[in-house]
Amino acid sequence: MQNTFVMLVKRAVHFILVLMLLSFLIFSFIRLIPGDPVRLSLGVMAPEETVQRMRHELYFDRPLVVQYFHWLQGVVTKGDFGQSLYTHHAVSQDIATYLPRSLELAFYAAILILIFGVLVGTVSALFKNTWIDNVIRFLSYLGVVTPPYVIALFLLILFAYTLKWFPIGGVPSIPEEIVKTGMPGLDALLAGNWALYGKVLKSLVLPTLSISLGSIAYQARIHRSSMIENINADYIAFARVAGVSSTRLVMKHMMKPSFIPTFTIYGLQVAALLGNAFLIEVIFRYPGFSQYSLNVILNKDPYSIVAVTFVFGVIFAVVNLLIDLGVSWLDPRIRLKASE
Amino acid sequence: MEDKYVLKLNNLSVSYKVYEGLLKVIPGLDMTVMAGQRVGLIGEAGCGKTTVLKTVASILQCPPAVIKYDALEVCGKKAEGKAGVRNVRKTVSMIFQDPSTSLNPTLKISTQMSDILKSQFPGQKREDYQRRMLESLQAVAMPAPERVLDSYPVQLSGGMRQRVCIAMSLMKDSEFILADEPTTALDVTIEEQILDLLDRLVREKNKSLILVSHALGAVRKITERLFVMYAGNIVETGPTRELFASPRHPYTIGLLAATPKLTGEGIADGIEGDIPSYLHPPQGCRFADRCPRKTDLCLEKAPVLEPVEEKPGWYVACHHAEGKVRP
Repeated sequence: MQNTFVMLVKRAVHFILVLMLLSFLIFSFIRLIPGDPVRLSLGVMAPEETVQRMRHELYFDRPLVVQYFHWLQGVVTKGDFGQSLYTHHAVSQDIATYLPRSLELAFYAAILILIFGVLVGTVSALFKNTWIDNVIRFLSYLGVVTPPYVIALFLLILFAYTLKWFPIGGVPSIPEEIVKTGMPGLDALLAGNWALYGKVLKSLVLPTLSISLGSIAYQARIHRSSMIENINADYIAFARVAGVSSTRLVMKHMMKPSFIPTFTIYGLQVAALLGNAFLIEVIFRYPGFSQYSLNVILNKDPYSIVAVTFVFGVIFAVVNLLIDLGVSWLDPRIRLKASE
Repeated sequence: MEDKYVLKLNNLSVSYKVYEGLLKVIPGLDMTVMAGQRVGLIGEAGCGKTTVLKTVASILQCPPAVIKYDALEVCGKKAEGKAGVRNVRKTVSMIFQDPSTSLNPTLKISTQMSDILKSQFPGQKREDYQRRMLESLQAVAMPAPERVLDSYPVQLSGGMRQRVCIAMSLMKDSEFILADEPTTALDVTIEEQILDLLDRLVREKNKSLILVSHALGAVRKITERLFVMYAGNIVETGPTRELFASPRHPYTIGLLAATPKLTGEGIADGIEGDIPSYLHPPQGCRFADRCPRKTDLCLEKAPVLEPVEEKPGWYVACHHAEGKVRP
């Protein structure tokens, strides 16, 4: 336990340094990009004095290092990520609006990927080289090579346009008074409004499927191959002949070691869900974080870009930490080595 | 008791499908083991000893292996159909060559042991399982069994792991134990301890044993009957001590002569050459290529096991073996 704590502290320090470096790099890049974000925001017709005043307010007329540390001071002391020149809101407020929506979408997708990826992979491995396995392998190959937006369009045409089972896009508006977390479904749940939650879920079905099907397929392939590696392992043959029942053998003795590669890939896939959801969010008119991040980048909105990068950095770091914790829980060889 | 078989294997053939074709490892092999008998199986690496054991334990992966036999009967259970094979698997225990790969690296010893007990004797109390696990570890002379139960395989030494494996394979009530080179992966200093332990446990519980080992001294000490394998065939079988004293098959003679002796002068001679290719095995005797007594007959016709004169239970498969009963 103490080792885990030491590891966490080490990781946290490491992680803060990485984030600082990352934000500084982004700051420099934005300055390097040609074009004046302030002029872009105010328009060509704006008087020169206004532009200059705003440049001064935003520290754009100061050296890069000064501007950076001014920004960092705001982040550390007030949690203030600056002003967005695109939405004209505080950046932190924008993030609070858009990020939870994408997180909820990613959450459902992550659950689907874990359950079905592992399930399909296991079935495929246990029926290796039979027609069941062949069908699964074909479908998962198809799933891996089909881009999510193609899946999205296909699902839209079939289930929303033709069969009319699900809405074409958008998400039900959540009444202002019950918004707490910003996640539409969770807010409806917290308010005890089951009907609204049902509506939200219904609108999330197609986008969730669109972003998760490819990942499920990929996950299933990874899990299949690591299961097969274990089916042939000596320790499985030994446990079998020593008298462990088949159910225990599959669900525990094969599953646990097979999960090591599966879990690593799973973590990275979940982290990537947020960034890769952009086209899906556009297609389903889901006002989420991916869409927001792309818009601020296209509009060269300096503080928002830094904040968005920052958020992705935090998400990847946290996911990586969780992967490492998970893998060290699964694999005592790693855990015991780390404690030496 | 004495005339009861624990293993009856008739005309076993095993091939492996590989990219280049079919490896015909075992062309046709008969083997019987009586109840309570301790049997040794020797031969150089790659001659099919492990394949035979894995076939008997029904854990050979098919494919790539292709197994055929006229009859396989273990402890009275016939291996016919899937259910039959499963029944056979239930009656035997097997100890593997390398204890570092035969324990699951991700599960604690206690989990691996209790899963056997839970599967074999379901519905007992946790304390009972715990007690039985401690007992079985004590039976293999394991120091600090509580600590071992709470460990993962990586935390144990090779010798300790093999003790755990032996303890695990003795947990279910099987009368028949297959030990596949249980000491090959261990230090020489540990080797004798493990073999002594195995010998003691098998004698105490009156179990039958097939011991595959390159430690010929230990095989001589532990077993009553010996099978000598070469390139998938049993070339000679007989009572262990007599066979060690006066081997008849030229391969056995060479194999036994290759053992370094403390009293001997330097390193003993080996047998020149290698095991023939299983892809295109020779039509005649598989040992002919390396045999000092080779004649044209050996190249044409494969010898079969024939009784040795005035030696009950002693068979040799060689056209030119001494003292063989001529048909």
